[in-house]
Amino acid sequence: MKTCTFNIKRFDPEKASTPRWAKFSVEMEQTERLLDGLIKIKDNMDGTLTFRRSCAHGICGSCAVKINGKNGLACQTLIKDMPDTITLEPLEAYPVIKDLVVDMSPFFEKNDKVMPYLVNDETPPDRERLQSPEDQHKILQSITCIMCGSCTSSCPGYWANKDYLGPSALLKAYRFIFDTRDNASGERLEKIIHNNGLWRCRSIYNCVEVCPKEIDITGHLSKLKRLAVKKKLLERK
Amino acid sequence: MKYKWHTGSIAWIIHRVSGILLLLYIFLHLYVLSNLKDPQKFESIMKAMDNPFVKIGEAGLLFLVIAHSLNGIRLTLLDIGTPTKYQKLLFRAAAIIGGIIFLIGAWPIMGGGY
Amino acid sequence: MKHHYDTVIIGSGLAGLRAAAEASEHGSVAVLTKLYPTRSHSTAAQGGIGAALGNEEPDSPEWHFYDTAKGSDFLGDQDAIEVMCEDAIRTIVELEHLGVPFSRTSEGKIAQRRFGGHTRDFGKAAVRRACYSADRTGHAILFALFEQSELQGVNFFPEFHVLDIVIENERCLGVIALEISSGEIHTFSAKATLIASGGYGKVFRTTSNAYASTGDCLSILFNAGIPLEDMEFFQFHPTGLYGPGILITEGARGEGGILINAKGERFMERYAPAIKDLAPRDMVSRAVMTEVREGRGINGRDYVYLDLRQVPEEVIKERLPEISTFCKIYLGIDPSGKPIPVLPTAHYAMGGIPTDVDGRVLKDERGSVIHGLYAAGEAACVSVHGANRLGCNSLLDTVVFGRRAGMAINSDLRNTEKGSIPQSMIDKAGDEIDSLKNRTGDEQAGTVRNELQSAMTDKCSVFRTEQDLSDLAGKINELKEKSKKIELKDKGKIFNTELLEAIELDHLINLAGAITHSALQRRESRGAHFREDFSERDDRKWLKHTFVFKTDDRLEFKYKPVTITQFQPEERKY
Repeated sequence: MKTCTFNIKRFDPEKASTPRWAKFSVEMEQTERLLDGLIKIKDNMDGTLTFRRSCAHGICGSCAVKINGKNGLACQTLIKDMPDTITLEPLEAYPVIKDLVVDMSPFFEKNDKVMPYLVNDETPPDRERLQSPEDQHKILQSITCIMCGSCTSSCPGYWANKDYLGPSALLKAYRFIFDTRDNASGERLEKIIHNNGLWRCRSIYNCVEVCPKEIDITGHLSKLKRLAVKKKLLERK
Repeated sequence: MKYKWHTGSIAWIIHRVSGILLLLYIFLHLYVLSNLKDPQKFESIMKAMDNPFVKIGEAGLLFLVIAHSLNGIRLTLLDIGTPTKYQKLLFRAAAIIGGIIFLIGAWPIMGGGY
Repeated sequence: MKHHYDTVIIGSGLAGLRAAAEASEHGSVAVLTKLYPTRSHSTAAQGGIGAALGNEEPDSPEWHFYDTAKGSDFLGDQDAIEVMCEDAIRTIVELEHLGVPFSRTSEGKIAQRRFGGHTRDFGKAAVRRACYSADRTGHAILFALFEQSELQGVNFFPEFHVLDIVIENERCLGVIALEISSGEIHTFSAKATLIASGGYGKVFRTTSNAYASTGDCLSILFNAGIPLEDMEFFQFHPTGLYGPGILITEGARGEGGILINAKGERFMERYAPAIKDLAPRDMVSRAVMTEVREGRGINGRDYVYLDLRQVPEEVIKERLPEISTFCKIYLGIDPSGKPIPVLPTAHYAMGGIPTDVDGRVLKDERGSVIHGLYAAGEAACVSVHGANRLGCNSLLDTVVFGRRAGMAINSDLRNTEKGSIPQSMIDKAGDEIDSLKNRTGDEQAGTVRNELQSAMTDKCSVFRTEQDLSDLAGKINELKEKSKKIELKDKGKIFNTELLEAIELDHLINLAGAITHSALQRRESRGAHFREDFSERDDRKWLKHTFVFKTDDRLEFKYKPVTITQFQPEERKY
C-alpha cells in the first residue's frame, strides 16, 4: 500500500469557464492500475469526477489521458511505475467536454478521410482470398491500433495544425495500402500525399513514445513516404 | 503541465531552432559580402570580427551548422529505412560526434592553435 | 431531439454491426452505442471464431454441430445450432472478403487452432477449428465490420445511453436515449429495433467483461414484461489473470499450454482424459476450483498455473502476443519463462433475451413474438449455447445471427408502418432522470455496486448451493433498498457519468435477481450451472429452458422444451 496524490485537471462547463486543479489522496496497491485510482475517487470521494473507461485492459482505447505530461492509458499504467504524485490531464489538442473527457470527434473524422476500408472490386473467390503469412506480417503492427488517440494528441505537428491528418489516420491508411488484398492503394495514397497529410510528419517520434500497443508509427509513416516518393518519381518518368 | 520532452522532440526542436537561426545568418552573411566592393568598409567589418563576442558568435554558428547537418543526416537515415529503435542511438551518436567536431573547430576560432 | 429511422440498433459490437450492414441495404439505419463503436467489448475477444473450414486438418460442420450440442450440455436448441454451424464457413469467408486480417497458414489460407470442446469425429480428439488473427480476433473483426458499415452509410450515434425501449400493444416503436455529452434526451422512432448490447458480466466482481457490460437493455425489457431465458447459465472462463480477472484466451491451451496445480500435476488429465486441457470451459473451471478447494492451489492459495513454458517462444510471439503483453504489464511475468497464475473469471452470459433463429424477440415460452423487436449476440438467447458455450462460438453467433436478424428486419419492414413514440414516454424518461438526481440518502453507488458484485462472485459462481443462493437473494433485496438511498453529487447535464452509473446499477441489481432466482429454481447441474446439492444432470425434469418474467416486482417462471433434432442427450464425457 502507498498513498498517492492524484492531481487532476478538472473542468465543468456548467460551473466555471476555466479549468481548475483538484488533489485527491488515495490508498493504492502497487499492482493496481491508475484507472483503479480514478474509480476509487469517483466511488468514495467525489462522484462528479468524470473520465471514460470500459475494458480496463488496454484493448478498447477509452481511457487515454495525459499522465505526468505524457499520454497513456490509465488502465495500462500501474501504480508501481508512478511517482507518489500523479498529475492527470485530458488529452492535449482536443476540446475538453468535462474533466478528463475530450471530444474525440475530430480524431475519428480524420480517420474517415483516408478511405479506411478494404476495397476490392474483383469478384471474390468462393473461399478466402489467399495471403501469405509474410504479406500479412506487413500489416501486422498496424492492425493492432485501438484508436485511443494518444498518438495524434501527442504530436506537435497536430498541435500546430488541426487540419493535419495525424499519425493515427496515416497509420490507418498504411494498414490498407499495404494489405495485398486491397486494390485502391494508389487512390488512397493520393488522399494522404499533401501538406496536411504525410509530409507534415516531421519524425518527432512522440507518437511512438506513447503508443500503448507499441506500434512503430513513425516507421510505418516513413515507409509510406518512401512509397509516395517512388510513385511520384515513376509518374514523372 | 507541459508535455514531456523526449529524445525525438528535443532533436526536432533543435533542428527547427538551428534551421531558423541559420537562415537569419545567411542574411547577415550576404550583408557582409555585399560590402566587398568597398575595401575600406570591408576592412572595418573584418576588424570588428576580432571582438570576442563575435568569436563566440562564430563558435555558435559552428554549433548550429553541426547540429543541423548531423540531425539532418539522422533524419535522412531514418527516412530511408533505418529502424525506429535506433533513433535515440543515432541522436546520441550525433551528439557525441558533433561535440567532438565542435571542440576541434571552436578551438582555432577562439584563438587557439594546433 | 427526434430521429426517424427504419431500423435502430442498440450496440455496435459484432452483432449490431453485422445487422447494420444487412439492414442498411434496404433502409436507413441508426446505430446507438454508449461508447464509441470501436470501443465495443467485442474488441476484447481474443482466441478465434469457429468454422469447420478444414484448412489445417479435416473437419466438418456436422462435427461442429455435435460439439456445440454436447458442449451446451444438450440444452442448446439443435435447430439453431445447425443453422449456425452450417452457416459458419460462409460467414468466415465473407468476413475475410470484408477485410478481416486473419492469420495465415503457409499456403495463405486462414489459419486455425484448437479450442476447448471442439473435436473431430464426434469427440475423438481436438480439432483445429478456431480461425484467428493472433489473439486479437474480436478486434480484427470489429474494425473490419465498423469500417464497412461506415462505408455503407450507417448512421452512428456514439455515446448515447439507452433509457427506454418503447413497446406498446406488443409492438416496439423505438428507443429513448440520452446523449451523454449534452445530457439531452433523443428519441429514435423506428420500424425495427435490434438489441445487440452485449453481456452483463459486471454483475460479478471478478470478470473479464468491460465496465460497459451492464446489460441495460435486458433489464429494460425485463421490466417491460419481456421474459429472460436461461439466466442461471453464466460462463466462468477458467483462465482469468489472477487479480484483475483479465481474460487469457483458451487459444493459449489450444497452442499447447497446460494447467498445473501446486504439485506440478497436469490435473486436467484426471477430469477429461481424452482432450484434457481443451475440455469445455464449465468443466475446466470446475476442475480448477476443485483443485483449489482440495488444497492444491498454488502455495495453498486460490489459483492454479497456466503453463506456456513448453510452447515454443516464436509461437507465443506470433500467435499469443496480446496475452503475453497482459502478463508482462499486469503481473510482470514473461509467459515463456514463468507460469501464469489464473483463476476462473465471469466471462459470458449464455442466457438473455429469448429470440427465434431470425432474431425476433419472443414474448413468452410459446414462441409468440413482439413485432419490430429483435435481439442478437450475447444479449440474446437463441439458444445455441445452451448451458455452456464453447470457445470461439460466440463470435460466430454474433455474426451469423446478427446477419439473420438484419435479413429478418429487411423482410419484416415491408409490412410495417412506422409508429411514433408517445410524448408521455419521453416525459417519463426525463422524470426518472430528475428523480435519480433528486434522490437523497447516505448511500454511494460505488459501495452498493461493489457489495453486489462481491456477493454474486462469492455465492453464485462456479459452485452453487440452495443456502448460498437464497442468502444471495436476500442480499440483493437489501441492496435494492439501499440503492434507493443513493445520493448523486453530480447534478449536471453534461457528461454526467455518475448518473449513468446509478442507472446501470439499477439494471445490474435487476439482472442479478433474475440470475439468482433462475439458479434457485433449477435443481440440477447442467453446463455452467452446478448445484452442489443437486450435482447430477436431470434430463427427465430439467431438459428445458427457463423463462423468467417480472410482473409487479415478482418473478414468475415458465419453461420451454429444448429442440432436439439430431443428437440425443448422452453422458457428457471428454
